[in-house]
Amino acid sequence: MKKWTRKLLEVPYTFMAMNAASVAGLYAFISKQKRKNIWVRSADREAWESVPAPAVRMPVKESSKPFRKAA
Amino acid sequence: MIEWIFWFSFLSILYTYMGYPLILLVWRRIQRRTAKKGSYLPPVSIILAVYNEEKLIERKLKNLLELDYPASLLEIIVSSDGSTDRTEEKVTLFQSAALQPRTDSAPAIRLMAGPAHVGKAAALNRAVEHARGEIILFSDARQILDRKALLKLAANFNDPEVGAASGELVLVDRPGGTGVVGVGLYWRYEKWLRKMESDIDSMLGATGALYAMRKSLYRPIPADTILDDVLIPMQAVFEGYRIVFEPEAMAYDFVPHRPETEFVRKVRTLAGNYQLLWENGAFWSPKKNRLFFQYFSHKVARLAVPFLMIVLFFSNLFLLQGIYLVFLFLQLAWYGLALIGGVSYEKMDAKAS
Repeated sequence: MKKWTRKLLEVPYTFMAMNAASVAGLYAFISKQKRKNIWVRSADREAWESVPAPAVRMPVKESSKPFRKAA
Repeated sequence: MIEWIFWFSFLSILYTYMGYPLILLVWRRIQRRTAKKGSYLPPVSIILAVYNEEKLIERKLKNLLELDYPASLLEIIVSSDGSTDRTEEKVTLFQSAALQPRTDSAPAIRLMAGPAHVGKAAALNRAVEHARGEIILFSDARQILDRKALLKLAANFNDPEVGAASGELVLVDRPGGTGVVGVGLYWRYEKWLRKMESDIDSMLGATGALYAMRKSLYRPIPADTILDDVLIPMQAVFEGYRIVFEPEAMAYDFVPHRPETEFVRKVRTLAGNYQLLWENGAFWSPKKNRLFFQYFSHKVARLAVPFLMIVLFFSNLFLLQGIYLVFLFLQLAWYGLALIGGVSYEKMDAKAS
């Protein structure tokens, strides 16, 4: 399948998936699954694990600007 | 009667995705509020609530040490929610290896190890309670922050009306360009709405990957809170402050590889929205929540859309004439394309693996 066709098809597919997520979200809330799934934001981390870590640049520069009191 | 039901469903869906953004566009033209930014450098506590992040925690700490911000005004608190892997050990090792000898030019890194896995909200409450900063910066272990992110966020707190400031989560394509296009589009649409809401008054939450808030406005959140990045900044709104969007404060993440990944994230978000509506009366109260109209149009209406789509389709089946036939054809075409999109993904995924 050509790339642009795939892109075109992704829009309705994603829209439907997002709306299905709303129904699944309601179910998850009602069935209290939420409590187990609190850290789900960590999903899809494998992409980061494949990227090399940046070098540490130390120490951090000191600013000369004075800081003010919060209003 | 069926016609009424049909048009109500159709117009409600149209309002949610097109009508509301149009209202925001006009509203912003009439009333645009910009934060009075300044070179404001308050003491900041960066809080990372983590659970089993041994593979990402060092990268994140290195990233935080590279932020352009006076080190003496910075502390980093890693609040581990009963991690069972080497997360806590790695933080301790990082403290001793990266920050020796301890000087004023390096920010303090503090590890708060929770005794058990009780949830992110508890880890955040614990960390904020012990934070010394005037501003709290919340971030996740996964996303990488731009070096100027904190400076840009802090500048907004020069405005006394600003209670919280949210950064921008930039989704970049994955190595090899295999990210999902639809998710990228959806996210851009979402950011456009958030920007307009911020320009008019206030956002309806923040980007969990990067946001900051005045510590004085933080109230401990219930232990089972799913959307901490909505409930925490909205506390500022309930107190009369603004949540502003700072597009120059950026955090980077990858576009998901498959829509399913975004699906899981979305289920969590939407379950969180139901939870907020169910458990927190302030969101429902126009008196307490001055963003009631925006909240209803942006968040609540979205929850109703899938059910309205079902009603729209079935009511259309009873109206098979004239313009209604066109509507039915368009609906079938839309669902058909979605189905083909799903099937093509499955095939491509099978090929790739």
